[in-house]
Amino acid sequence: MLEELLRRLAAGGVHSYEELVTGLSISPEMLEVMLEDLARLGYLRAVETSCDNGCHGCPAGGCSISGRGRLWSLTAKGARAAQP
Amino acid sequence: MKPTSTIQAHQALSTVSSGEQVRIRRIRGGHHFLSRLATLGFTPGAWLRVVQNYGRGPIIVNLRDTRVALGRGEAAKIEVESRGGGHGA
Amino acid sequence: MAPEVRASQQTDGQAAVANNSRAAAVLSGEVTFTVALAGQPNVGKSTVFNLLTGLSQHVGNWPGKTVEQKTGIYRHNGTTINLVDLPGTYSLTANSAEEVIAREYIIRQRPDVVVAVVNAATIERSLYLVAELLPLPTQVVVGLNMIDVAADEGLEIEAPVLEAALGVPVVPMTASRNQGVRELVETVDRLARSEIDYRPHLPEIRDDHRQVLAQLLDLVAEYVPPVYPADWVALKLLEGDAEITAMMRDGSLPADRWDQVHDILMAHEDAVLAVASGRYDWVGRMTRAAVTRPRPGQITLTERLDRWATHPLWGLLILAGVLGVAFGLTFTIGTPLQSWLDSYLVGGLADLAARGLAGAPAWLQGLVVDAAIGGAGLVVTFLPILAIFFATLAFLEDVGYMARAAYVMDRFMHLIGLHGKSFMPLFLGFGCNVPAVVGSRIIDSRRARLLTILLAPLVPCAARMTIIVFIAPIFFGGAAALVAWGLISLNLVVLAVVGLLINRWVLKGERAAFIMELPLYHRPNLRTIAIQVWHNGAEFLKKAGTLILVMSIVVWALSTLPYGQIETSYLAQAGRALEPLGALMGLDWRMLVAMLASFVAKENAIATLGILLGSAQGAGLDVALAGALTAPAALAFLVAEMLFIPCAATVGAIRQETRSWRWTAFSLGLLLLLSLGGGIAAFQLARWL
Repeated sequence: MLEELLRRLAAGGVHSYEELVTGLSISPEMLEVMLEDLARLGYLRAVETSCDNGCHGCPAGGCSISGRGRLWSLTAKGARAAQP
Repeated sequence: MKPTSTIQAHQALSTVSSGEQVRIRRIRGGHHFLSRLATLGFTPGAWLRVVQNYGRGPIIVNLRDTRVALGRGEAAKIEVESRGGGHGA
Repeated sequence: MAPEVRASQQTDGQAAVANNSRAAAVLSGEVTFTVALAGQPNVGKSTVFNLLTGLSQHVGNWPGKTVEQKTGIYRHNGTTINLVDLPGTYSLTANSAEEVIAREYIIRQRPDVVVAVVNAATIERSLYLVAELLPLPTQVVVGLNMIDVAADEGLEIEAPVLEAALGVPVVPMTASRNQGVRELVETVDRLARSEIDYRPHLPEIRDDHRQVLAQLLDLVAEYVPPVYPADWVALKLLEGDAEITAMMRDGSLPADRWDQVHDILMAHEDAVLAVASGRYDWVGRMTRAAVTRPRPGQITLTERLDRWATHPLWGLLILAGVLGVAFGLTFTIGTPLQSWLDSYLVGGLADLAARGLAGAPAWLQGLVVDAAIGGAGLVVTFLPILAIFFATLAFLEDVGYMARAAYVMDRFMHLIGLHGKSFMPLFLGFGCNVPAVVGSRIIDSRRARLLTILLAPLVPCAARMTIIVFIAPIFFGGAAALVAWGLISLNLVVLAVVGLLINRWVLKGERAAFIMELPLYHRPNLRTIAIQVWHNGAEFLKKAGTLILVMSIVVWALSTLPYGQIETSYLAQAGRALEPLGALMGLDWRMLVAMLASFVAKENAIATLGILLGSAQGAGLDVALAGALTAPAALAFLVAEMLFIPCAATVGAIRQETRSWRWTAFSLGLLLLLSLGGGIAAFQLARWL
């Protein structure tokens, strides 16, 4: 199940929770648990979406792309694990 | 004011639609304004063709073979007329 | 179960508690059990513990550790039960002292029963711990706690079904209301006396790793310390558990045996995924059987909206529509306001200054009227346009739409064949390119990060869009919105194509991947939006008053020296050198200089045009532009400006993030090429149409 998740990610792009939940036939809660687990193991990284110092005078409406949602990024370790 | 397609006897340049040919009848305004327009070629009796008039923003006319742009406020002060079979300028 | 005194292999307080009371019980002829309470944080474990042990609680520390230990006693039908509260843990891996304490206790002290307190409202998360508890050498009762909270959320869990699925007793409870506790005590009692048919259905490792596990087990079985279950140790080794690995490597296994084990483990570094997957599969099976889930109203609304908003095609159309509305608003409200400010504020101020400085030297008049007011002042009139733009952005962000927009743009890229690439941080570029460049830090792969940085300047930033907003209506009237929209789309198409090419040729296909949680939509908070717009506006004015003002003065100076006439100035001389190039686009040297000036800040293009075309007094820049350019030339200018090299701040950020002058230069060169090529193409095409 975790491998399937990583494999979907390794194909690249952005995935929404809804997409993964439907594709893997699991509940949203389960997905969150799995994401946290994968992050703990180093296959994913929870991304800080707050404004880094680089945006002095950032005219964009708030630097965070995802607003209040969480953003996860596939790490190099995760990318390796996804291709057996 | 939106440009109209029928040309009346006394009409402001700002209301003439694109493609129409008109002749300058009279220019209202102060001395400074009149002399400035004169240097651009706007004198009573001169023919001109409206190239672009969107109802907002600048108006572009072709006058004495030159492209000239005018503000709406200015164009509103220029009275124009056309005759049945208008002559080209 | 007859009480026994167990020989413990350690001399520590854990054993002491159990031993002392057992010894006491043997002496007095009583039956005594030891029960451990396990559970994740926030499942109500403490409530259960307190209810059962009341005043008999004893609080201390786990021996040798700083983690708190709570023990107590309760009695039931003449039996004494020693209750030990294990630290709350999410799982039983060796990542924290708490987890090690919990599992060590169970393995070494072998309590008669372990009560796994589970939060019914977050059952899947809670069951993960149960998956780790079942393989241990003890008997587990699941205390399905907080069913009141679950019921409030509409969650239905059928305890008997769960029991049948798990193979262990399940007791529904609401400990906070003292419900189900008696049943729990009775069940514990019966289980301790082996009166319940106990057949746990254990999670299994994923099929493809079963053989490896068996191999490991063969290798280590005879060396595992007796107190530990051999198959559990093998599993933990495969999982990469630090403590167990250390235990086997440093103490239990002979060197050559360890080498073999080590080889297997190295060859299966990611086996932890197979182990964890096995547990998740197990949890999934359990919950699918026994849990019924409802759909609260707000989630449904978000879901319904998202069905359209995140659709690869419809979502994009919606996004295009939103963009159209944003432009529409800007054109209907912003442009007239800007125009008004231009005539009255800038024009009025210019006239005032001209009269006030009538006796002053010509250069001072020029400095104030033409440079400061005609240049920087003109840029300030753009505040309404920018304000509307930022207000729209802030509104969409607050409502929660922006996340969808980023997501849908990315999905669309996939639809047109750009698989694997992720353009996430680029989305920030719509406000300003700098955060898009800096935001690429969230991408892990260096190559994918580089690609994003190279593409960032192609995202049309707010400043560039204001140039469009100003120039388009002059030449395209009502079709201005369409033109604006078209220019944005052009940028995005170029972005996609360039992205594809760079990815394939220069960077050889590295991919970035993201998972994005799309939060629920919610009501916009107007105050937040207003504050954001205010902040942005203030920043813009600050920039106008400093950077742009200075630049305006420089441009003005260069355009009046040495003879006081624009046509013969230094700037004109330099500018004319570029005229052959400009002729291909229908642009004279003044337009080219304006484009170059936009390197310092995009808004400078406007300021420079204001100075060079002489607009402060008189008819205004829009009229001057209308007279200076034809529509195709204007289009060429806009296309070239949109694709031009970014402002200095962005270039600085690129240099900083790539840490390479080579890549920075490559980026600039690429954009220059695109810009000129695009401008020329646009001009020739437009003339021909």
